[in-house]
Amino acid sequence: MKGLLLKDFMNIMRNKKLLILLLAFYVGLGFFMDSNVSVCGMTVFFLSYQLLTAFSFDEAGKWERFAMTMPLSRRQLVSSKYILMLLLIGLGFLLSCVMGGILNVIHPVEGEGFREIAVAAAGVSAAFLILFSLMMPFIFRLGMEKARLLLIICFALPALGVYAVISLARKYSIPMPGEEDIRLLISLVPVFLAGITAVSWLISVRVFRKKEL
Amino acid sequence: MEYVIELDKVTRRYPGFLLDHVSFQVPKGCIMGFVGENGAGKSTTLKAILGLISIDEGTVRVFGQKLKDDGRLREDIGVVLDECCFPEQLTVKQTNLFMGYIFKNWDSALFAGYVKRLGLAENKTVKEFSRGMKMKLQIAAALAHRPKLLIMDEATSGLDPIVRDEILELFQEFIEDEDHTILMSTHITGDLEKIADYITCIHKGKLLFSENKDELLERYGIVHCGQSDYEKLNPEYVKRVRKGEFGYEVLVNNRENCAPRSGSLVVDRASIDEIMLLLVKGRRMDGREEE
Repeated sequence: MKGLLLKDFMNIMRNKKLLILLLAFYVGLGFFMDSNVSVCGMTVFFLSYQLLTAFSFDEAGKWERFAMTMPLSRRQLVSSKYILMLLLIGLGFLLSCVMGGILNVIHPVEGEGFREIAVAAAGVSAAFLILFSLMMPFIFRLGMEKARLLLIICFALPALGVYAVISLARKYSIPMPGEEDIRLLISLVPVFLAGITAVSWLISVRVFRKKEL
Repeated sequence: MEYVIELDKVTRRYPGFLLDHVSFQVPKGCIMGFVGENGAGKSTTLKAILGLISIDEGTVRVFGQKLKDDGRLREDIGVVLDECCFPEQLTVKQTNLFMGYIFKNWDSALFAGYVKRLGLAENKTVKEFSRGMKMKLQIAAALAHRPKLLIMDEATSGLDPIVRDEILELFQEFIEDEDHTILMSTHITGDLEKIADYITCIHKGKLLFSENKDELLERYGIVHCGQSDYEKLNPEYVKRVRKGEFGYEVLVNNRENCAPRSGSLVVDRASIDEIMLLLVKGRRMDGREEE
């Protein structure tokens, strides 16, 4: 698995100049718009998105077929992509916290302290973890190109779900959760994220085991 | 005799194609050529051997065992596919690096040696290589983890004669160790006539033959004759016939005894190409196409 992760990271790093350029652009945009939070959110986005780039590279080169002629199991190939996902999202979170800290010193924005930036970065990281956990089984089943269409659905569904819950709550005057309830929900988020990732991994392993290469 | 690969009634059904109860064995220490026309089932058979596809019936054993998902047996198998699947953005040096973490027996120095010998630039990306160079890279990688078995799917197709000759030389060096075996599918039967020990031929998903190459070429012959000479041929040894404008083209499987000794019939040696062509395109003496 180390070899698979190394391959993916080396592939991603071939585009490092472009990544740095895009990040620099968004830092500039953040300066212009007076929003350090959005810069950090974009950092998580750019790094997390490299997971899909890694999948695209593999698909273009028919890597999966070749990898399965090596001493690797299908489970290892699937697991390497999940570990890559966690590493990229984690790296994105850490980098955005570091950038947030720096921006907070050189370009402080009212109402956007380091705490707010870290919370925003954590929120975006969690969103990507959920998004990719939903997508990965489809990517392993259908391939990256077909699964790209699902990207839109995976973005839209949770957003629609949240919107529907809030609308219904307002319509039927269901009280919104109080501070205590929100604290409890937030404490359950890591469990929820771990659960959704684990279920996604199990489905992906099952799907990929049956895939003809 | 010890067999490295054993296929027993391997069957796989697709809409419009059937790999039909294919059985053959690859003896240890030999080079087996695997031939057949486009769409005959060569790649399907190789994929079944490597566990890339499931099979509906039959068994496949490699080194006496069924290939399991854990991939352990594949440590000893070097594979060269018809397309280079290495990440195109990476250099040869980077490929050497990550492959070292995949194979326990990966020898970086050996890989670098093959790369140098085959004239590949270490700091060039795979994207910058020609088809021939990509194939060389694949072969270098397949050999660098010191496999016992090499499986190649059209590894030399589309390569110029000079590159093919370099690659065949590598294969011959590989096979000098009696523990090493090669199974290679190819359209270039001339290469097989040079280096193969056994030939297995497949047509429309069915096995036509799997025999020792020298015995095959010794036994099979081609007779070009008219009607009267055709009638003198011993039907027991006539495998296939093609009737053309100028007479008959007959494939016989016993050059010595297929024609009366006193006659003037000339029985030429048949090449692998001619054997394949007539087995596929010819008809039996009774006019039927298939056995």
